[in-house]
Amino acid sequence: MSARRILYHLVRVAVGAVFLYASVHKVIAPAEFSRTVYHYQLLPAAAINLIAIVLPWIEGVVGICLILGVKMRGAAGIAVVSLLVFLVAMGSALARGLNIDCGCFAAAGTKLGFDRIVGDLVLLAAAALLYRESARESIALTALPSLAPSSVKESS
Amino acid sequence: MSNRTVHGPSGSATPSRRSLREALFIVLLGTGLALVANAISPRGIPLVGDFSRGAALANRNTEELAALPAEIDLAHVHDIVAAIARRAPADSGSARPSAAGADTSLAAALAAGAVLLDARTADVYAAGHIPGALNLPAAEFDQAYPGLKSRIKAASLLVVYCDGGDCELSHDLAGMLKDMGHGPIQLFPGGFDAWMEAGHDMREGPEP
Repeated sequence: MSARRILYHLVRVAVGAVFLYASVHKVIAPAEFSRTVYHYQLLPAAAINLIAIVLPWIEGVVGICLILGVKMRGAAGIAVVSLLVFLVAMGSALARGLNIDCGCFAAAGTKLGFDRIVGDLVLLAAAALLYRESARESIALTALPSLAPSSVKESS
Repeated sequence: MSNRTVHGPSGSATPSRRSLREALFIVLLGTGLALVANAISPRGIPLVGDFSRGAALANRNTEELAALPAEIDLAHVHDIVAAIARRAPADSGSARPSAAGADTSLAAALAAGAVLLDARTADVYAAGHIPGALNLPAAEFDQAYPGLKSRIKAASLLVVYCDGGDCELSHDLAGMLKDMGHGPIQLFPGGFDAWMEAGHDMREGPEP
């Protein structure tokens, strides 16, 4: 296995672990998380609970997919999109001077600050690389089916 | 990182379609799991929440609502601030009831031994708080609590506030204090905003 592949798998598991970890407390405490979402003042009141219920589970499934290395393109793609959405949400909240919970790793109780923006950017870069690398992998596999080891082939 | 895999004309459409298909699968799986879990979990919340009474009261079940501390109005807070000012003219004296208090009503007695707690973060507190209030940030409860424990224990009444409006730090702090066995606790829902709107003075700077 090349160094690049080893790095790919390390990043994949690390980002997956972060997503899974971030989802747990929010899955456990949807009521708290809904209030955190409300404080961002971005969504209509009618949409807040639905987002607070569903988002952590999608986050968790993405995390599990990344850790297991299945549905990599979908999982990495959602990771990229969601981290962009979080970036916009956090940036707008900070720009509006809101003093609120981040809702990043806990449903509530962790303050939103610029360190969270930096963390999001780091994850975003990692997720973008994962998406690129998984796209490259699937292209290589479809282009050269005879060279692909059967164990690497993904069932879909 | 720079070398791109060369592929045929059909190669670009298929992978992106596959990305979307996989993403859709994950979204649907997550949504399905979420809705099922929310439906069967005792911690589940309504699909559409009621935020009409502010975030602090939203998505709380009847037990949680009943467990919320009693609310205190602006006039009573004003009495408490006056009592704290009489008790400790300049410095942060210990929380002993004022002997000079002329008013002997129960409310005055409680006010004399009451401690006003600002649940907001230290920097927000330093920018302006209700005079006499101590800062116990709900977000840094574990770090801030030990330093204030003796004063909180000596209090005859704990009054907790934050910004008011949608702010729920006071609710969080009241819950934590209750868990530590402290009481009685009252909530000032109007908070700092109501205090300022009433034209009262604020105090700046960190906790003395």
